[in-house]
Amino acid sequence: MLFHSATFLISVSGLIALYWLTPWHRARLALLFGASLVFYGWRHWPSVFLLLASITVNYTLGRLLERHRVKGLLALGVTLNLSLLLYFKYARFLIDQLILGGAQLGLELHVPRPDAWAPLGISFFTFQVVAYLVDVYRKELPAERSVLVFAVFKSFFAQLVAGPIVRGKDFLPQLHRRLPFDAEKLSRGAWLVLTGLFLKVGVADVIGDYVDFGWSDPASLGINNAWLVVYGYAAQLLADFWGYSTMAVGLGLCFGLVLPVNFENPYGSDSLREFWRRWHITLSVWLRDYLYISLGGNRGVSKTRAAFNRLLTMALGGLWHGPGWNFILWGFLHGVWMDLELVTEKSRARWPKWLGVLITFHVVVFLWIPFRAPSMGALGVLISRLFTAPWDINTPTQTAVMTFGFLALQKPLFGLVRADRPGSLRPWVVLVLAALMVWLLLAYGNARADFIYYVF
Amino acid sequence: MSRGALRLMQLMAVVLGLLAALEVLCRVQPEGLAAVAHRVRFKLALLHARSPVDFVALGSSRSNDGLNPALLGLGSGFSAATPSSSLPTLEFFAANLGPQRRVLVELSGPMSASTPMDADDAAAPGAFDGDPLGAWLHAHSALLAVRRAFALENLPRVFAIVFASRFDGSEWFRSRQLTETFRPPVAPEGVHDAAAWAPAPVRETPPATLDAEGERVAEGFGRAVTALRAQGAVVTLVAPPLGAGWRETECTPELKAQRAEVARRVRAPFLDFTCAEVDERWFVDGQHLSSPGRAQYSKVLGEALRALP
Repeated sequence: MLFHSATFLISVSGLIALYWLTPWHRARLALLFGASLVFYGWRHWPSVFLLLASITVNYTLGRLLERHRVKGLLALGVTLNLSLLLYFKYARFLIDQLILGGAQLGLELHVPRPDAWAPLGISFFTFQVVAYLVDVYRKELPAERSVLVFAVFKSFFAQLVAGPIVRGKDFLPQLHRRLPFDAEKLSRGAWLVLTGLFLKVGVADVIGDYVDFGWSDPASLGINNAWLVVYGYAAQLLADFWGYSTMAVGLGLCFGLVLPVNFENPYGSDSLREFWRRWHITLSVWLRDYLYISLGGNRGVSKTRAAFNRLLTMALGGLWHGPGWNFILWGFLHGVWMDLELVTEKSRARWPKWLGVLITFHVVVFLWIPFRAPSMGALGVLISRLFTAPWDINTPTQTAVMTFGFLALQKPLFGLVRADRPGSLRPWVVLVLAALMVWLLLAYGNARADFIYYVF
Repeated sequence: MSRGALRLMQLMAVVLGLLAALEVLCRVQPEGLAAVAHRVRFKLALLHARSPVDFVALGSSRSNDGLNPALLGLGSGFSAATPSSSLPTLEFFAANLGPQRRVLVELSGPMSASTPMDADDAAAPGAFDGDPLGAWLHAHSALLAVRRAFALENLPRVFAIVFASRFDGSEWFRSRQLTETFRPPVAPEGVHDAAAWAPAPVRETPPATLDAEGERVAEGFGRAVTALRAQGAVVTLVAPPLGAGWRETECTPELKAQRAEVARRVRAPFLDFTCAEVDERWFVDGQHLSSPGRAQYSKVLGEALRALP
């Protein structure tokens, strides 16, 4: 169920009331688990069975790993989870590449393409559970004994579909104790849900209308509108995913549960390495802890090997977003730029910070182009329009104002939406802003589609 | 009550209170807020709020940009042309315009389109898939029906309706209004196309058969003109001029024949500038006239209208 649908918002309000009125801890967990299954299966109920199977298997694997710390068992668990991800998300892509490769060699391959649906959020919950198994294997986390607690950890609706990727050592302990009703947390949660909703419906979807239009026919764009589509997507993607993550953190707080913050003013970073510490933080941490370091990281290895590790991690991180060469290219280019940053580190240290921020921002914005491109053909057309198209007198003023206003006001906006600083705003400021957001949502809101990261 | 509980209550009171208050307001004043929310209803409300006029112009953004009622020389006029208009919009206007002396109706590609009227926040197909409560609210909430009334740029419409006598409708929704406010365009220099500014000559044409699309257009215009005449209006069909690119699309023999047949069937004089080979520089984008183009077209159209029997 979509976070910004009226059905979800009204249902979840009832659920919050019911949750806090329920006196028994296990009944609360059962309520959360049941609601999570309903929300998850609302649009595609067969996915629920996959989720239930994944819960059962990974719960068992966790317990077995704790008793028998065997590498083969961990490999089995990781392979099993990644196989599901591979089948549901990448099988078609891989078979297409095989057929294309065969065609290049003059072979006509007839490989059946699996008719698989992609369960929502499979990339997110696969990474979550792989981290759990590895943590149990590394003895950084005891295997969860309660099936119900593990089921809620794996399926909690606020983070199931598009993160934040919750780590067991942060989240499982919260599910073990009966939380007392905390009006302060609930109030902060409601505030974050409202601000997240505003970012999604009032900013991302409004800008996204024109971005989608531009990408549907890039050849028709004038130079000014082509650049607007590029900057617009940077604003749309951040507002969309930041909005979702803010709602997720807010929903968690409404149930007394603390989820990790996923964004911290990423466009204010003065290097790509810093950008990845502020953008989709939980994915960056996952890639660092479970992929980059496993590959050897940058300690005790040659500079070439460290650079290779970075490139591979970023390319795989790109591939995680979806089965397409554009995602691999995007991740790879991030890796290349990060390596370049390391090579030029000494000279860059003398630059003023604003110059680093400006350059990094434009690198990020420019690299979003292959990320968003629906095809390599469209990518080429848009890039050529950026430099060779004539000026188009018809510029969508509202999109332009919203895009550049949103991008320019990043720092104060992140200050307003800080989840980890309760009480940093005066109460009357919160109320005025809440009224303003409701007003703007009503007047301009444009709930048009899923969250962008739902498909990743 | 704890500080947290107080904050929660305050937040809920503001959000829910504001929504409830606006819902009540929209139920008390549905017509007024609809007039502020939607361009078509706004122009209609503006027309009804001012004193009677000698003529009203109905059309798309082409007429809205291209026609200045004050320059037509036909007495006091009002432009009810609006961007994104279509045949359903025309029929809505025709049914709700009220008694008028004379009405100019644009007969063009945009006005022949079957696009639903741009006067309600109709949900896009599939907008409420999997969201039954959203669909229910959309169908039952007075606030959601007119929510665009609360957009900041629409608020000046309230003052326009209050001071309606100061407006002739042409002040709203022009394509380049903002740009032209700061940088008024000058008439293009070295343009020698005075002879081109003339409507297509009127010929008595025999009845022609139309394809299904043409029949739809003819029937729609027929219904609209009949409704206007039933309220006492004299109807004249007009079609604004276009730049070369757009002429290629709309000045084809088939569409010329279709427009002529529609005019013949509704028995109204038709001043068709579609194929007038006017200079491209009168337009801002090949379709919409700039300020100098607007003055030129209004003057020529006024002369042509006065020459009608």
